[in-house]
Amino acid sequence: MSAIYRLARDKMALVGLGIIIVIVAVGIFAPYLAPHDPVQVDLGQKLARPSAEYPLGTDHLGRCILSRLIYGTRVSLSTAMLVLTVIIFISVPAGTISGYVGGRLDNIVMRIIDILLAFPGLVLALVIAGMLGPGLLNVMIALGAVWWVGYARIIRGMVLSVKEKEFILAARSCGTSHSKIIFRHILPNVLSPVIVLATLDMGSLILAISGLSFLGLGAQPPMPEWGAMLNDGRPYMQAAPHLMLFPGLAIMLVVLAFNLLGDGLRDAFDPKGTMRG
Amino acid sequence: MSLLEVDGLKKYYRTGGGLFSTGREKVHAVDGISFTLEREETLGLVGESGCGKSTLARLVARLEEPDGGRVIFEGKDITELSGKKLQELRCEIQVIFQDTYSSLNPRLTVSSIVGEPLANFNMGTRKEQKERVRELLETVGLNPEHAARYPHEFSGGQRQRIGIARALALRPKLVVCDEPVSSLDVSIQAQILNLLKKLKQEFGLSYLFISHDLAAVSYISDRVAVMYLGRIVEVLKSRDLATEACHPYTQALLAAVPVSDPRLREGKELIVKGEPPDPVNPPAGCRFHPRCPRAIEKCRSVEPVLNEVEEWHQVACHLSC
Repeated sequence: MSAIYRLARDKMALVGLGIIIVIVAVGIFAPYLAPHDPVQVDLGQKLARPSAEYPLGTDHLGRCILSRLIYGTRVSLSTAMLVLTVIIFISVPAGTISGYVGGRLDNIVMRIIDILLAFPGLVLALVIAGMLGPGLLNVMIALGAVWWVGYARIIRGMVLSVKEKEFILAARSCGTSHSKIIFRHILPNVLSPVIVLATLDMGSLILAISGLSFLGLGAQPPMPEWGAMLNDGRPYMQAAPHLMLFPGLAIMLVVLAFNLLGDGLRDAFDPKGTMRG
Repeated sequence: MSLLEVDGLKKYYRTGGGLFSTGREKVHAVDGISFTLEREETLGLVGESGCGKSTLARLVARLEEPDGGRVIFEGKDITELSGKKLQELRCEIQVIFQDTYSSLNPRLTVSSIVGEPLANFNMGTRKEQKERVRELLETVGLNPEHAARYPHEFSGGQRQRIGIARALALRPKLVVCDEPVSSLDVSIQAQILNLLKKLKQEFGLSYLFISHDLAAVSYISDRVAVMYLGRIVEVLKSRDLATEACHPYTQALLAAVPVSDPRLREGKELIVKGEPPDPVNPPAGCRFHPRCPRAIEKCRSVEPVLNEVEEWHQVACHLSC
């Protein structure tokens, strides 16, 4: 597999992959790594500076920030993964069928996508999440409902270009059914850019989830979520900047890691650079 | 009974087709074509780019729906076939494509490419299919040991051999060759042409051989049909091509074939000028008249029909010899 070989030689991508592996491991082993209970309130210790007892200090309710960050990894990563899965499950069939069948169906699907794309994605997600009410599940629904359109559009475009290849005609002329053409000839030729896009988007999704949580729509207290932690720390920004600093750094690190890996994957799958915007 | 009979076949493509277009503009890709193909015959089809050769190939192989006319295969009208009947027809008519790069799925191994038609029709067990694939690869001159490789590991000529093996897998009676050698080097072209000739004798195939290369077509074909702008202008035996051809367009094509000795070029001044007209608005009368050096008044208004001037020789020209 030359793509994997190319990825293995890309140092920045490996750094990204390393960070992601570490973060995932941190999420999995959170109960063993966290020094304190992430929801344990200790008002006597509130807004404490970093110390040996609390390595990253405590927040306004005296909860251990390090423990909350470690448990927050679980929330942020799993939510983003789940949203991404939903996005893929909506956009791949929609884009593939729209591109392959064409005609009126294609027109209808594309106009729906155009309408959704006419609004800024995050603002639309904000409206949907606002209508559904606060809660992590509602944020996931809102993001999924908005985010799939870009994927569907890209997938449709790629299906259209693969559809014109002569091997599709050859498959039809030797009696291959439409469903087999889609699964055997079209999807495998379309999927690698989707993987790249999904990896690059993981960072944006984590950012969007944190953003909505920051606005109070996502994770509800006392659930430790990075964006919600930022929001919690906001009133104390001047007195205790570490309340916002550490969750912010965590978000930045994860987004950076996914972007590095995504860039590396893109270069590995597409050495000629046709996917670069 | 001829193997294949094509009667007044038509295919128009609508241009534009956006939300607000009337869709009245039509490209006359194939505009009333009739010919017959006998059993174990090779009919060559020549014409310049954009004259509708490939569209005709796809219509005959039922990969596109015609807008008019009929295709009769072994006495049965196959124009309207669909579903299961169409599936059965796929065993009889196969296609070899021009582009050796885009005609093979880059993500499948050679054995799954060549074995795909066998799997589609459940021909034998998996093991038998594997065996048949090896046999096919050997027939087209490839090493059966390479069945597990991917298309990009082969050269252009080898890739075309893979395409030929796939077309032969179902033991078809008719093979439509859509410019099978156009994308290959000249030395490889000869190999592929000889392979096609050999396979024809071995399996009793009939070819509809499409090309813009007059030399290749006359080498492999029994008869040659010359196409211009969606119409056939002349059909004749390929051995008579150099001497008997009488449509001005055929003569112009012959004159355009490069000659090794420039002195032999004498008397071959009939070179067609300009580009073929827009197939959206083909010229009235004879479609060739704007470029024809011998056009007369009648050519501008009356469309000539394909007439038999002698046995096995039809011409669509008012001046016909």
